[in-house]
Amino acid sequence: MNGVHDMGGMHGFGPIAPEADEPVFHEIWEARMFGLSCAMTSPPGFTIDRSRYLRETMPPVAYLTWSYYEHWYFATAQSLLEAGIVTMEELRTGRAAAGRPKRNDAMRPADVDRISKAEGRYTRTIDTPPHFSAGRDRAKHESDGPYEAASLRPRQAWPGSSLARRSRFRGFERAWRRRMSAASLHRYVHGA
Amino acid sequence: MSEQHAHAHGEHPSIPDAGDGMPGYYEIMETAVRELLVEKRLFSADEIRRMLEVMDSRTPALGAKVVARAWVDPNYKQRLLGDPSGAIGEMDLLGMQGQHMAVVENTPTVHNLVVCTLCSCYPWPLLGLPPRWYKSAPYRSRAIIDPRGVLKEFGVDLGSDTEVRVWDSTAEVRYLVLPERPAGTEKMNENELASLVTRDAMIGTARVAPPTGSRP
Repeated sequence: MNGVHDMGGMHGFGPIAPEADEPVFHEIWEARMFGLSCAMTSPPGFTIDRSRYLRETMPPVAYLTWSYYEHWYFATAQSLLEAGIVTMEELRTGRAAAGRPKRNDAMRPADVDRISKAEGRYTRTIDTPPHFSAGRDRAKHESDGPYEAASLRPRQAWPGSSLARRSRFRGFERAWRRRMSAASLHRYVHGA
Repeated sequence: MSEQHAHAHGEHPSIPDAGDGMPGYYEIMETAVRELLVEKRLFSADEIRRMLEVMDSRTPALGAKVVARAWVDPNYKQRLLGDPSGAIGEMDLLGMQGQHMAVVENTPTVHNLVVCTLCSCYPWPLLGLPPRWYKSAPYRSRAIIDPRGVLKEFGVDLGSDTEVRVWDSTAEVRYLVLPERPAGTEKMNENELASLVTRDAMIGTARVAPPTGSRP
């Protein structure tokens, strides 16, 4: 886990910019994207971890240049593509292809109330002792300033630095310069 | 450069780049996916509306109720720190993106700060949706290597004798900071206290200010 999404400890992103009287959504479509993503009947096996993982599969240039709810669009569409619920062509046209199956398990507004109040705990019992214990084991780092702390970011070797992967990335960069469309971005991620 | 709005607030949400009124590329893509899914009967438009209504009801005022209860009721505070989800559940404030809660307490010697370095995890049922800066690369990248610098930008200048603890959220566990009760609030009731507690104080980027007019 060493992708561009793993931002903790990176340098160079500039100052934090709080907004006074910030609206919850900056554009109306963002609200709809949010509602769509939260309220749709999830594809089988779809979990909150998967939702975040899908964002992390975005190519780095897109990850950094797309806005937050564009990430949501990508993760939502990607989950539907992977589950086979929609096809690339359907995504492109916005219309269901003839003969493609429809689902009839759509949630109702009352279901939204139910899932929005659902309870759950994520504590799990394990049968192996943990490697570290709170309070006893800690990584200490004395630092006079942010630049000293660069070592806090675990820098593993970038995986898969094969020529193939790099040329694939260059291919993406070229596509990006042509203003990559959402559909072509999905196609790029699928390698098709 | 002036960014003054010509129109009255409340007419419509503030949209920075609406400009020519043409839908943007991603707005079109969102519309395409939404219409496609309605056609495929994955949901109806009513669900989106209901989802937004539900989220509209989630604001930092709810988290502030939890904080104020902990300030006035030592038994509640003990439960809140010992079994956060249980204590927040007592007030019926658990829910989507805030089912499994952790509460971290600020003291005169410990200051807590919450971030999600990987994305934007945040306790929705208690604070609503996160502000843009919380989801931004500058905050996510810097909060864990320069928390004191970040806090200073938010106007919280901590002495070197105050320990800073930074909590990196996960998809499963969401954090709420229990801020320090300010001086001069001894005579205030629970509702009055709740009105002092801000969103940023519960993220850890602010302290709760004493009530205006009070003399420390």
